[in-house]
Amino acid sequence: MEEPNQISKDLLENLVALRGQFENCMDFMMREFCIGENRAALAAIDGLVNKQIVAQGIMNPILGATLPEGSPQERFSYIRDHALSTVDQVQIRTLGDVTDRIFSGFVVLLMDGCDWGIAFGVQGFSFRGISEPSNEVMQRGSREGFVEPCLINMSMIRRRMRTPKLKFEKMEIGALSKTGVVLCYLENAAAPEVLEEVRANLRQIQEESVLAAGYLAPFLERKGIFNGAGLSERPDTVCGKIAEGRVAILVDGTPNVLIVPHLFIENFQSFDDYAIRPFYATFTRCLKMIAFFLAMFLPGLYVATVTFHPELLPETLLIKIAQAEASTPFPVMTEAIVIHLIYEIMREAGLRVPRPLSHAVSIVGALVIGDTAVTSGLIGSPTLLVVALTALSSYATPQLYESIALARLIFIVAGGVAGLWGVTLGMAAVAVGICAESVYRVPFSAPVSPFRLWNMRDTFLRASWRILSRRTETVQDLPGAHVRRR
Amino acid sequence: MAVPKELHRVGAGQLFCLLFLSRFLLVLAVNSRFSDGGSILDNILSELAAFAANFLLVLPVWAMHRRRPGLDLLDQAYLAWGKAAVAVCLFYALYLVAVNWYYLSLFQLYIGNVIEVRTPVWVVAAGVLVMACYGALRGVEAILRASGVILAALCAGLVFIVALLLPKIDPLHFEPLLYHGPQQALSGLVLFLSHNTGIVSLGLLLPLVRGRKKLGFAVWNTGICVTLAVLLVVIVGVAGDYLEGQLFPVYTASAMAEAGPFQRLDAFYLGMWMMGLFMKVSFDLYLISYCITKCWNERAGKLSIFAAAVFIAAGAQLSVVDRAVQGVLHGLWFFGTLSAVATLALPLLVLFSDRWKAGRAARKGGAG
Repeated sequence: MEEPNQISKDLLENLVALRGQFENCMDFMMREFCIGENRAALAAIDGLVNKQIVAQGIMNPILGATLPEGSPQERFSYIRDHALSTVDQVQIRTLGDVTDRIFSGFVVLLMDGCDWGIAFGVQGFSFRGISEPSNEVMQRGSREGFVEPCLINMSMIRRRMRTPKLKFEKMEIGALSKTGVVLCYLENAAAPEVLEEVRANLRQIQEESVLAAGYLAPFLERKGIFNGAGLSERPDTVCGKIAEGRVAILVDGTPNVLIVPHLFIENFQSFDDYAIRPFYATFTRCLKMIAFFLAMFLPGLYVATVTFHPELLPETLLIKIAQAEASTPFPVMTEAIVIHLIYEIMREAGLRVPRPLSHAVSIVGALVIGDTAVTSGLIGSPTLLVVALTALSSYATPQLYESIALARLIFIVAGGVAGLWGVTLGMAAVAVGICAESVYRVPFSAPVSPFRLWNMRDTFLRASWRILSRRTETVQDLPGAHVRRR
Repeated sequence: MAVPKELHRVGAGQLFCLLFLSRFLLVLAVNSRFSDGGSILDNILSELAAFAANFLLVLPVWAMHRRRPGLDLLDQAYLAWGKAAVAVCLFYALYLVAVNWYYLSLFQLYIGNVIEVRTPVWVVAAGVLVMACYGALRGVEAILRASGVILAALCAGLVFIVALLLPKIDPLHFEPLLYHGPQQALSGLVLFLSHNTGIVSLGLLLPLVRGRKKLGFAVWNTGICVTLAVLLVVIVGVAGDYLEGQLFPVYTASAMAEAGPFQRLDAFYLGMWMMGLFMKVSFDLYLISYCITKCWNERAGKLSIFAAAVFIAAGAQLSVVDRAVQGVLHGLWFFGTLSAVATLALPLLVLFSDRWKAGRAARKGGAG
């Protein structure tokens, strides 16, 4: 008995079914023609296929071929095996496969008298060319960044890791969007438990549409204030992470690749660290850590000190701050919150505004906040300086920006309401929050806590490649990881 | 007995980091008034004696662990005494509540009398307890991992303060040890032993600990002894007799530290105490929930964290406002007795009961 969506031997029946499915789809193309005395049809979506390849690689060879005598099945088999010059072709048997292939940029050939079809991979849609990533700028190393089509991203990774142990597993997520999601890992480096957990997390996603990597991130990471899934636009960064046993998740249609497990310390590492000399890389890492500390805690500490513990400040500084604050109508906490909110609004506006208007936004922001607010006596200049330093520092660790932006407001309130004890308590709670989490059975705070001296060579320090290359360690080798090694 | 779920093994280093923090807190809170007000320097002798005593006091717990490495103190009590072991669980839970009364009330006294924050003292205590509940709910692994980070920060702060105080040391401030008699050294010894929950914590958690436990214990005990000795020498060298009239001598000395234009660095002291207290209370709340989970179930264990926090808050507040309660809580006999039972008597009783039962079973088996 035939399956309900099995391709029928009657071409007309298949065409009616397809036309029914694609009714009112003006981009659906159907070209009917004859192969000998048998009728045949090509179906595709306009814009997804390269029509020149369709004409030269499929239509011309078929129409010009001398077909042998025999049944339609034999003729169709002859065309499949001897006539066509396309590389990527698949035999399909159901109408479901036909529509799936058509949506993936294939052309499907059906022939009367045959209960199967041939799908040709002749994708020809336009896409953005490979360019330098805009959000992950590096001084050294490759200038290539990921693009939207997943296949090209895969090729960029494959070019850098020429080993059959590099695996790409495809999944489809999203009932409506049927987005292609590809798991990428090194077979000999990634832990099977981690891989299985990633697969399980992806399988449980019930979303209708997946239009960006951010749609998947919540299903892959822990529930904490800091990100548990890394994001990269650079193939070299992704290759480095994969070599350490991590799993990359490529989402078709987005130039960002998710990487798990992602540890807290990775927020202070960048690909540049490995391309520049170690002593300077160590220095920049330390700078980033200090910047994180400033971005997160400085406004809170400033508000707490000025409000409750002014005796901690040197006398001259205290007098300057007191003079500046004496002329403003608001308490320091309110000032700090207001300036931060204004800064965040400016930042958001600068991001969303059409490019020609961005200069106007910058000028208004600089004039309003930088000059007018201080000269009019609404805001004290020391508070403004603290906010400016905080804003600059938060860009040193861009992956932590979202967490820092919210946490520092909480710390300002803690400092303004409770003083230093509130900020200190908050710091301790943040430390527990970071240390409490495990991502894919690896402590989020590893290798700082649980501590291992050997791992410090690529944590606070960036040792020379002479030392780093002595032993390659995977993420599951980190102290405290509950994952067995391969 | 119910077994708490999701218990992973913890590293010996992490556990001893936390125990170091707990005792470090006692060092920070060294209080001349509550420890008989003699020469502060004599506390070095007390700590040396406590150092030696700790090696003896740990023996029952260690013997129990060697006998049954997979079972903690409560499990072994259950083996020895059956359902009566519930009383042991409850005793340890209450003991930990009482110890935290002491630590929190001391902090409240410090905040109220020395820092004089504008926030009401009970709000500060409530803040600490709310955060500590959060820490306890995150589990033992989270607390122990965080303890390493916080200990590093505390040690950095301590080294910073000590380094700034070193140039201010005046040798004339030092008096011979035991100059005022042995009273201070003895009361210091009782103080250090009676407020140390380290051995009880080991009794509860040793089966989960992996790594070099004996070495960890030795380093912990020695490290805290050396730290206290250095700190006491430095603060006495800086301030001498002046400290004897101070409520919190370590604080007073740290307030004298100067770094260039920064003339008051007592905020470091406040930060260190706050972080240490948070970790200590979190850990003890976790241990309380561990004891209650052993008696009943996981849910009761989690609820007990909040209940214990409320008890601790109430007890600490009571000891702040009521001088009679304060006298009992901060006197040496109350915690001296409690700790003697918790650290020594109960583990010994459990150990002997277990050995006696085993011996009787062996005799019966031999007779059969």
